[in-house]
Amino acid sequence: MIKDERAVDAALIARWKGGDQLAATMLVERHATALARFAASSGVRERVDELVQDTFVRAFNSIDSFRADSALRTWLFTIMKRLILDRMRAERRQGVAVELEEGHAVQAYDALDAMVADETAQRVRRAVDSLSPMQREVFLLRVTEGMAYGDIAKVVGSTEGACRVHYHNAMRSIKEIIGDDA
Amino acid sequence: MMRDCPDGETRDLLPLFARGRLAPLDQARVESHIETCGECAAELRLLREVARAYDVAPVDVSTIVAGLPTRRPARAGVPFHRQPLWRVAAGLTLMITGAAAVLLVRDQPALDLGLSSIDSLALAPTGGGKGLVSSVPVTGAAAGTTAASTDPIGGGAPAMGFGVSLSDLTDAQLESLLASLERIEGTVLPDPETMAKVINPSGSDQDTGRES
Ligand SMILES: [Zn+2]
Repeated sequence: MIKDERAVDAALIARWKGGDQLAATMLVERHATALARFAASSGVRERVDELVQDTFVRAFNSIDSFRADSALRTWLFTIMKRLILDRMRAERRQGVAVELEEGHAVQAYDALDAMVADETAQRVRRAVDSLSPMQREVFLLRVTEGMAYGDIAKVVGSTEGACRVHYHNAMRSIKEIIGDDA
Repeated sequence: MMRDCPDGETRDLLPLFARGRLAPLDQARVESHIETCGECAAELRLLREVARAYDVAPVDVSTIVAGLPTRRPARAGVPFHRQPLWRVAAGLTLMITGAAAVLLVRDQPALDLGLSSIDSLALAPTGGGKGLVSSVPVTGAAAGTTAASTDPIGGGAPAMGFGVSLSDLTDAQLESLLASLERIEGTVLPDPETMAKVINPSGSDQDTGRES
């Protein structure tokens, strides 16, 4: 059984609807860092805090349509994913180079190597980045957020069973790449 | 090459265990399995390395909250925290979070990767107990609790800019993904008519969430 956080979120939402602004603060505290992590692992490089803020604003503005049969965090992730895709589309239209050209990833590694002294983290990221986009998204939601397959399926637009398969295939690949000296 | 534990069900729960997302009984069951299973212990270390590699700096909560819409109370009534259901939910959450915290703390010495920061991060956003306790009775203090870091997330957060999952989509893939999100979009838009049945504070009909 998965620990049920939904009753807490539902109670806080009800309090916010009743005019208690502190409840909003507590909801943000509960989910903001996970949203920032989701943005970062989705490839968002800039203005992550703005993206987190936009996600909450949009969520609070449409909170009446939130169905409690979904976890609040899962719903927030779907809102953020939509915002990420919108931003990406806008950037492409403006001609901002976001395509991954040959060698782009290598440059990213170099930039990160300069920033992050942690070799283990670098090795792990390279292994994860070698996964297919779908495998990577499922794997990271499972590992960094501890999400149930059913919730992951809602975020990535797939089925619970397919997500389980993606996770285990990803895990096998990761072990093959870095398992030996982990 | 790391070997896989033959107990597939337990192995499947390891990421949830690592993030403290299992109900207390399952959390304890997985923990005792790991104590006697080298394969699962090794896989758990790997999972925690992945989680650490993608961790981000704490978000500035106060800035986000300042930009949120405010909501006027629909009607006067019993303050929510005085309602019996709310008290039960708060109490239960406190108990569950407390038990999970104990398990996580017990888990620490077995790990060699300096992971205590990960676990406290895992607890902070999900462990509702802390915030709830400090808010009954309501105080202004809770607003600052996890807003301690004012470091903008971009600054010094090693997780920035590494994933390529969405940005490596082709234009056509991006458009099709956006189209597939339209139905989710439908649930995001406000629909005042449905307000009454949306929230069920008891949580009784949700998430039986059996993971296997
Ligand atoms: Zn095992």
